Amino acid sequence: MKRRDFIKRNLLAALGGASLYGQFGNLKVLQAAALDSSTAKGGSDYKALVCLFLNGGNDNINTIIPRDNTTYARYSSARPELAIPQAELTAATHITPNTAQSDGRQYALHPSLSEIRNLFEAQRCAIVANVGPLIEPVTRTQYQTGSVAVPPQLFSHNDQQVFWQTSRPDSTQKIGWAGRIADLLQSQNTNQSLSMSLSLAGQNTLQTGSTVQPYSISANGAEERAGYFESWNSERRAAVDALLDASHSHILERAVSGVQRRSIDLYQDVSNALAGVPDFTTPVPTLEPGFEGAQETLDRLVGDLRMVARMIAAQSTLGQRRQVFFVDIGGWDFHDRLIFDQANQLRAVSLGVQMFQDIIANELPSGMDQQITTFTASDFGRTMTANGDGTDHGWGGEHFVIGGAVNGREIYGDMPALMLGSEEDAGWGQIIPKLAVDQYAATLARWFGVTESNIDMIFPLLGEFPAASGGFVNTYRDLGFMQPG
Amino acid sequence: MNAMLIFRRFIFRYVAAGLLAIVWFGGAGAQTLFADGFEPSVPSFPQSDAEAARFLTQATFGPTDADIQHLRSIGYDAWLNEQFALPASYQVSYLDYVDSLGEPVYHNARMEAWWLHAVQGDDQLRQRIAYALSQIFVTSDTSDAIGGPYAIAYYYDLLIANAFSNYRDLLETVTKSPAMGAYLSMLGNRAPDLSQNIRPDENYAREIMQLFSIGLVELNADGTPILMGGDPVPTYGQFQIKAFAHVFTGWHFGNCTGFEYCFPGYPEAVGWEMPMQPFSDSHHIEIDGDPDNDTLLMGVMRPPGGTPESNLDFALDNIFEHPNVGPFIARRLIQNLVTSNPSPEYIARMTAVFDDNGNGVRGDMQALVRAILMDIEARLGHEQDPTVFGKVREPVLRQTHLWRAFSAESQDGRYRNWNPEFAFGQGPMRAPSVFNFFLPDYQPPGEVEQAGLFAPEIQIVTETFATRTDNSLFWQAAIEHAGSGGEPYFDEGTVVLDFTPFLGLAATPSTLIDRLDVLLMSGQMSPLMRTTLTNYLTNIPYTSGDDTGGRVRTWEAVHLIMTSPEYIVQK
Repeated sequence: MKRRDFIKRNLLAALGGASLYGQFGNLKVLQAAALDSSTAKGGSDYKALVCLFLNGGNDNINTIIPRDNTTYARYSSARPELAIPQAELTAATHITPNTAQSDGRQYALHPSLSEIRNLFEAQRCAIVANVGPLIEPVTRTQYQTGSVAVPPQLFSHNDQQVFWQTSRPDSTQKIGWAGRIADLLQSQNTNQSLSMSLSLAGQNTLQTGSTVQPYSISANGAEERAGYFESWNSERRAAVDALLDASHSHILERAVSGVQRRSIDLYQDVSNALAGVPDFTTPVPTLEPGFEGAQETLDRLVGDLRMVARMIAAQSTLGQRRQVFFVDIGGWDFHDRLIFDQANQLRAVSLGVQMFQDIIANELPSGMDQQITTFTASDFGRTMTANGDGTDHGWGGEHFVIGGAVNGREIYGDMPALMLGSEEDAGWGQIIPKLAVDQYAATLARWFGVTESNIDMIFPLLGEFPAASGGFVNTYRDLGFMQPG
Repeated sequence: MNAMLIFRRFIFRYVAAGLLAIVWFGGAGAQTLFADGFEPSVPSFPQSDAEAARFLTQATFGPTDADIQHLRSIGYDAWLNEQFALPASYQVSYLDYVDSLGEPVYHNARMEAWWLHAVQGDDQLRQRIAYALSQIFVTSDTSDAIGGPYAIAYYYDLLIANAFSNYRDLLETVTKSPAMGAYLSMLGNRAPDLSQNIRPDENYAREIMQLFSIGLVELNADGTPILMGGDPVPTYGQFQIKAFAHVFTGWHFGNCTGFEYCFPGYPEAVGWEMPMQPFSDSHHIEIDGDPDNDTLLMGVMRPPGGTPESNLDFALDNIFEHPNVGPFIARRLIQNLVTSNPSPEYIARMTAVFDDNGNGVRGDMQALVRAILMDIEARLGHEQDPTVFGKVREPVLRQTHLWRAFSAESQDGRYRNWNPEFAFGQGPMRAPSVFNFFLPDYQPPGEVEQAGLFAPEIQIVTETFATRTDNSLFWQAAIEHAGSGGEPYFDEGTVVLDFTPFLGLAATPSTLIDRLDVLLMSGQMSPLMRTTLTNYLTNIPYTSGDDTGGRVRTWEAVHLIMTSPEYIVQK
C-alpha cells in the first residue's frame, strides 16, 4: 500500500470510529514486542527523558534571536515594537554553534537564558530549529491552496498540544508518543506495577499509552491515604477496600476506583523509595531584582524538577530502568505583554534547568548525566508579526535538548529566515515547520532504546519526511542531536 | 418494581428511540408525543425523597433534608419557578462586606463568597448555573492580566446575573467585560498598523468560537458532527478568525478618556467593574470590502463602515445565529449538571428549545435550563442506562455537598477554604487556562475511551488528587464536627459539621445508612455497599468513651460514602 493511501485510510478509519488500535498498526505486534526484552538496547542501562512542556505556545522568535545585521533587520522589521534591542544581545548572549547556519545567520539567546546559553556553549545543549506537527512536508503554496494534508485545527491550543504529544495529526486518537514508547518498554522495568511514565502535571496526552498510563506524583511525592495504612485502622481499611474493589457495574465507577486503587497501592512503594533519597543540597535558585514576576513559575518548576531528580535517584529502588517525566510549565500564551512576561518565564526556565543539571552533575551517581535528557515542547511557535504588545498562535518553533548525551552546541535544521510573505510564511506570519515532531521525537526515542522497527510502528508518518537540509541532520529518522545510545 | 416505574421505563425506552412515535403516530416526533398527553412520564412531583435528592443533586450544590421536603411539597415546576424568581446573591457585595470589616480584600475573600453562596445561597439553581457558565466562559484569577478579586468577582456576578437571561445577552456581556477582555486580550486590541506589522489580536476571536459558542466542526442538531465525504466540516478557518479579530478592536477600560495609556484607575480600579468602552479611532472599519478581513461565519460579510458597537453587534449576531450554538451549549450544560454522555436525542430536544423557547425566542437560557433538568433523560436516565448514565462529581461539589448536607458553619459564618485547588485540583475561577480544568471531550484511556465515552471530570482525578480529595473529606468528617475531641483546635473559622440529626438514627446502623443513602446518593446505594457499611458500623459501639451515642458511626459512614466510587459517580 502506498504511504498516501495508508494515511487516507487511517484518517477515514479514525473519523468513522474504526477499531481501537487500527491507527497504531497491530496491537498484538506491539504487545509481543513489549514482552521481548531485546527491544531495548543494552541490558542493564538506565535512561530518563524529561519533557518540559511550555504550555501556551512559546514565542521562539524572541527566544533564539538573530544577531547578524541582515537577519536582525528582517526580525526587527517583522515585529518592530517587540524586537529585543540589538544592544541587549551582548557577547554573553551569543551562541556559537560548531556548524554555522547558512548565509551568515548568527544567533543569540534571550538575555534571560544565560544559564542555557552557557550549557549550549559547553556542548550540553542543542537547538532543534523550526519543528512542528506535520502530516507530510508542505510549502506555502500547498498550504494556501489546500493541496496537501496538514494537521487539523492549526493554531488552536489544545489541538496542537495534542499533536505535539501524539505526533499523529492524522489520527483522532489521543495516544501520546511517550505512551507508545512506554507500551513497548514498560516490560524492561523490573517493577511492573509502577508506570515508567511519571507525571508531575496529572493527566496528559504525551504519556497516555494503549496499555501503560502515566502515574501522577506531585512535588511532594506520593499521597498517603489517611486513616488507612496504620495497623489500628485495619477494619476501616477492609471497608475501604471492599468499596473500591467491588465489581462495579457502572463504567465510570470502574474508572474512578481504578485511580483510587492505584494511588493507594503505589503509595508505599514510592514513598519508601523516596525516603531513601533525602532532598538535595543544591540550593533553590533565587531570582534577580526585576524578575519577581517569575517567582511562581520558578517555584513550581523547581519543586517539580527536584522531585524528578529524586525519582531518578530512587530508580534502582523503584525497579525502573526507564523513566519518562512530564513537567508542565504554564504561562506562555503571549498575546499580551510579551516582552515583560517572556523575560520572566525564560528566566525561571533557565534557572530551573541549571539547578536540575547541577543536581545531576553533583548529587546523582557519576555518569548519570549521560543518561538523562531534558527536552522542551510547546503548543506551537508564534507569529512573526505582532498584535500590539503580543503575538498570535503560530506553527513551527525551536526547541532545546539538554544533557550529557546531547550532541550540543549545534542548531539542527534550518532557522527561519523571518521573511514575511516568503515560502516559510503560512500566510499570516505563522512559520511553516520544516522538521516534523515525528523526527524530533524519533531521535529521542532511538536514544532511549526503541528499536528501528518499533520506531516505524510508533511513528508511522516518519517516512513522509526527507532528511532536512543543513549540515547536521543525519537521516530523516534521526536528526543527529543525540549521541548514539 | 412498581407499575409506575415500569411504565416510565417503557415510555422512556421507546420515546428515546423514536420508535413509539413512529409506531403510534406515524412518524410524529417525541415532542408531539409529549404534547399528546404522555408528558406525565416525568411526574410533576418527586415520588420519593430519593427522587427529590437526585434532582437537587443536578440542580443545586447538594441536597439538604429541608430542600428535599420543600421540593416534594411544591413539585418540580413550582420549585423551578421559585428559583428563577429568587433574588441573586452576588460576590462583589461580599467583598465589600469583608472590606467593611477593615480586612484587606484578596482572592481569599472572593473564594469565601463562592463557598458562601454555594453552601447557603437560596438561589441555588442560579449559583449552580453561574458556576457551570464559569467553566464555559472561562476567566481565571491565575492570570496576571486580570486585576485582582474585584475584577473576578464582578465578572462572576455578570454570570450570576445572566444565568437565566438570553444567551445572546450573555455572550455580549461576557465579551464586553474587562476581565474577559484582559484574559483573552480583546481589551486594548487595536486596528491594524501595517507599517508596524501590527495585526489585530486573534485570541478572543478564536476562543469565542471554539469554546464559547460553536466549536470547531459543524454540528447536527443532535450534536453529532456533520460529515461530508466522511469528513467533519470545519466551522471556520483563519480568514474568519482574522475577520472577527478585526471586529474586536477598539475596546478598552470603561473609565478611560483615551485608548492609549488606558488604565483601570487608581486607587479604586473602577475600570474592572464596568463594561469596556469603545474607541472609534482604534477600531478597524472596513472600507474596501476586502474579503480577507470581513468574512464572518456562514459566508456572511461584515458591512463596511459602522461603529465599534454596531460591528460588534453584527458579529455577535452572526455567531448567535449559527446553528451550532444550541447543541454546543446544551451539551456543555448537560455535561455539567446531568451526564457526561447525553444521547443525541437529548441534545436534539435541547437544541429545539434553544432555537425556539416556544414563543419564537432563540437563546432563552431559562427555558434551556428548565428543559435540561426536566428532560426525560435527566429524570430517568439512570434507569434507562444504568451502567453509563451520569457523571463524575466535581471535587468541589463533593465539598459543597458535605457542608450542605450537614449544615456546616463556622462561628462567624465564613467559609475559609481559600485554596481548594490543593485538595481538589480545581478552584472556582482558578482554571489553569481558558480550556478549564478538564475538557468536555476528555476520554480516560482504557475502557471508557474504548467505549467511545467521555468523562471530563476524570481528567483531574489523578493518583495525587483522588487521594487528596478523599483525605480532605475524611479529616473533615472525622475531626470537624461537634464532640469530635478536635474542638480545642477549632477557631472561629473552622467550618463545623452538625451530625446531630443523625446520631439517633445511628443506633440502628441500617437506619442511618438508609438516610445517608437518600441524602448523599439519591437512594442508589448498591446492596453490597449497604452490607459493607452496615457491618462496619455495627462493629463500632453506639456509645464509647466520649461518644455519647452515634457520633463515631455517623462520621465513619459519611466519609466512607463520600469517598466511595459509587458516590463519586453521580447517576
